[in-house]
Amino acid sequence: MMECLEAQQIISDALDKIAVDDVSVEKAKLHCTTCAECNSFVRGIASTMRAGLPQPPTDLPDRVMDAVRADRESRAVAAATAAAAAPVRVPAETRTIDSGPLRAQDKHGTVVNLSDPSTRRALVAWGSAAAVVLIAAGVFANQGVRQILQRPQSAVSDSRTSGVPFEESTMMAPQATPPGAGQTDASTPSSATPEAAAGDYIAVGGAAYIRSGEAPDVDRTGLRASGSTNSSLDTQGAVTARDVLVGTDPSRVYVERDDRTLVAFDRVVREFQGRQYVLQTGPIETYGVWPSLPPGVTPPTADDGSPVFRLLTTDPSGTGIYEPVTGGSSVGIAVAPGSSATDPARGNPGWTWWAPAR
Amino acid sequence: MTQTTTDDAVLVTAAKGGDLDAFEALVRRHTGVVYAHAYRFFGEKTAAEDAVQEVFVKVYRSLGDFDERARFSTWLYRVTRNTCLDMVRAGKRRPIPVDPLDVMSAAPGDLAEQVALSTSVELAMHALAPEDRDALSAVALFGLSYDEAAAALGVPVGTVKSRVFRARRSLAATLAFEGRRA
Repeated sequence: MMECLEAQQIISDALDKIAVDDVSVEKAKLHCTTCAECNSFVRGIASTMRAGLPQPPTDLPDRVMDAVRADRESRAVAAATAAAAAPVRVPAETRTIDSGPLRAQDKHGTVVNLSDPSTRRALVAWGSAAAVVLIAAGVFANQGVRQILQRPQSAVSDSRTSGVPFEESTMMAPQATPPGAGQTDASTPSSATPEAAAGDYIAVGGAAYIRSGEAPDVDRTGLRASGSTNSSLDTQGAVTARDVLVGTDPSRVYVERDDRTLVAFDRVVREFQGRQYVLQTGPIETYGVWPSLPPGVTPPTADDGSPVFRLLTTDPSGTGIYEPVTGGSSVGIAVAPGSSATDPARGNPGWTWWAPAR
Repeated sequence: MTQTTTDDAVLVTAAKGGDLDAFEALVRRHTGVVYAHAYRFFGEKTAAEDAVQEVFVKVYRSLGDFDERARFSTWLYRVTRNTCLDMVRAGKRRPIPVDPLDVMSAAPGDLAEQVALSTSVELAMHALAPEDRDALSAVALFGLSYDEAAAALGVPVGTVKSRVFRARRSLAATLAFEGRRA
């Protein structure tokens, strides 16, 4: 028996490139040809070598690199926002205005950097309109003026009356209408409030997805695993890690309920200046929870986005688009709380962060 | 191995300098062994894929801390092993227990021999004692020397050697028994 163990140990050492003298190896080989147990040991090792390694999916390296790039971007944002969180000296040409046509400015005092050309253009554009409205408003209190200013914006959000091309409007709108999330057509007041119900969101790899409906007819053989989400998939069940499946369209994912039925979710995106941005979020463990700023993005301390964000411009629907003070829009854009219900942010009562789509 | 080591070092240096293509080359080169380790650890493909993603994200984040005097594969083994353990500790995943009897029923006759063999081997790997599988993975999968594996696992060299040997004997015994039944 001792001889068998010694022979097998020598074979094992030789496999691991441990220096074993040739004579010992030859003795071990000879022993293994005559001993049934040791012969079985050698054949067992040969089997494991012949079997090869379990093979990963061919697209796994691509997915790994996607995750690495996403992580790199989020860390860049974190670094940018951390830098922005440092005390900021207010430039001499910065002033505070009390109201304006932008939704965020309706609700909050806004710091505008007049040295920024895009901001100057936006200021001139709304300034003319605001002057007319302010004169008409006359003796109205400031709050009354704000309410008046919100009404025209509702019309701007409606593609049928605003002149915004339909296709563009479609791209700007949420990709799906989740049950229970309320109507999003023009009859819905666009000035969503923080009390507005959140849709059925999940978080997958830091991106927000919204429920688009049941998926009973999806061919499961065409789906592959692509990450996981920690969700109850309703408002009452147990929160658990669930595999996320994806088919040929990467913007739509599927998650299996406990009863094995599939639910489809669409990635929440917005178009801005010809580029697509994906809504990022922290954890969402149950339906009805709004997407939040992802880890690494510091929440602004002021309503105007400072010191983290600054107003970049307004998009065609009138939503204010903000960029990080450090890093600019190349690392992502932000939308202030309380966007219209027709905006892709759907009236989220918190700041939302959108990363460039790859 | 020498060529790979040299190439790894070059790629690591380039990746440290911000060359994402170099890092991608490292990912493509080493995804197979990381996946194999994770798959044998969890016994489940989805968990293994998640682990591979986490491993390389961690590696990319920590490239600046990597001491290039060490071999990349040694470091990668440490990160891979710790990531799998962390996933279990965090409750994200649990290794699927394997009944040794499963191994013996893993080779139905209507499957191709190679597929059946691979299935049997993987189940046998997964049925190993975790510390034995870890040692075998370090040495046979990641190509670590016994000294490197001992440092990575925090045990004496002799312990690594005995664990690797014990793992091989267990595998051989399981597969031989299964072979006699087939």
